[in-house]
Amino acid sequence: MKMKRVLSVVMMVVGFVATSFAQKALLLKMNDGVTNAVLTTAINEITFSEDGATMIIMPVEGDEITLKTANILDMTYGVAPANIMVKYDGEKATVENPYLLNGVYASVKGANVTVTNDNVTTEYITELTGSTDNGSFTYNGSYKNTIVLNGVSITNTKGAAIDIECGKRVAMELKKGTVNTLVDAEGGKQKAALYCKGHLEIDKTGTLNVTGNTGHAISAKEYIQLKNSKGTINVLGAKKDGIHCGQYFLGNGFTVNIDNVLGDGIQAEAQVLGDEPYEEDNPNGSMTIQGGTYNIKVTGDGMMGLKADADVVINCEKSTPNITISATGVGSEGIKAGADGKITIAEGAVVKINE
Amino acid sequence: MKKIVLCVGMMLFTAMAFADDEKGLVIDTNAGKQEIALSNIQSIKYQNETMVINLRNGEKTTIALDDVKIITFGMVSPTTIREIVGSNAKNVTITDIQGRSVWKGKMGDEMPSLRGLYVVESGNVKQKVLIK
Repeated sequence: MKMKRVLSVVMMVVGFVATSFAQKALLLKMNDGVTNAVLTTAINEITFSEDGATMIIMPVEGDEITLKTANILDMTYGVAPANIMVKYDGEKATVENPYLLNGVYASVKGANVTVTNDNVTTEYITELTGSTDNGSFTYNGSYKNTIVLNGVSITNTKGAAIDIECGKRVAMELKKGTVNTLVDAEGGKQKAALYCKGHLEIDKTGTLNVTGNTGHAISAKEYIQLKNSKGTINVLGAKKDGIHCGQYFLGNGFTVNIDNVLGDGIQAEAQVLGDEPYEEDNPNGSMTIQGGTYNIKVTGDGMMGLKADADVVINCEKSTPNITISATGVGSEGIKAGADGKITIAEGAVVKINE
Repeated sequence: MKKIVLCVGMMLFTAMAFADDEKGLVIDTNAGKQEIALSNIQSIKYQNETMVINLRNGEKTTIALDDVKIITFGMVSPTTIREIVGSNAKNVTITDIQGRSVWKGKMGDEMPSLRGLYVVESGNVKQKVLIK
């Protein structure tokens, strides 16, 4: 007990000292809800155009940033956050962006948030929190990045809940102890409620509930990998597949529950790989499950629980997979490999189909 | 016809009334509010946890970052000739907008009564100024 108190005091002192010595940042609060935090030590000078319409920030390193003064609500000095912080609040959203000078730009319209990252040298983390019934998150960029779902709930009435237009590796972390909910619009043009143009790697131990009201619930143009963690993904419904990806699907862990889908449970579709390296361990169009728990129900005629354009391999590399599939439609199968592929289930793996 | 003339007259009056103020920084600090016209700011730099506002007239204003409550953009009183060239400026020249010389002298000398848009020059400083 005494030790706990001492530790608490030490932590408080460390926190106070850290805050006291934290570098001051110029907090530029924009009219749309974005606050750009720029370390004062990173600013060489600030000037204004002759007519006062623009404010020019000349950084110590890099290109100057020009902002319209009419778009700046106010300026204060404070501490910059470590990550890009997005907070939804009903019909509104706010963004704290500490990387303006590094090529990260954010904008907000209602609760629709767009982050555009022009930087191609450093991986940044974007953290989403809060709740909206009419919003979205769109990420544009051309460098790998991490998106943390920290208890966020996004329902979009026009398109995808999360649209990641970045063709690189996107790490999505479900923060421990959080429940995250993504629901997209009905009759939209989006491919999924959670869409990623690149390869999507999902990790950590939170929960993700997804409903795809137009197409898939979760979809990536390139591969999807579920890391070896104890998180939970619940596909609560989809007009097409529960999880759909190009290249390959690799499941190392997680509990995945898929229900109320009109398409397949999980589908891996072969993709033209372009300049992506061919992966010997994960051939194009393959599906490998080497850990985790999967409960999949599909009811549509000809729909499969697990479907791949190449091999389907279930082994115990990470842990013992526990797969339960109900595929009740006419012509449906629990597991379906490609025409030239085969299904391999290692000894010890638990696979139950229509039992 | 009367209505049109009245309307145009009111628009002109409104435009003139607004032209009197110009865009500037309104800096709310623990010591009170400070207003600086953007046209009078050469640059803002940061040194040792302070904000140093370098003015075009060569003078500077230094404010500790901890003292700043909030900074907004607002309409502030127009820049004066003294603010533009500095209190001790010599060889000050004022010309009208057509380039005709109106006054030459140093700060402190008697100036003619001026009203309208003029160009003020002294040393490296050259700036348009609206004199009420």
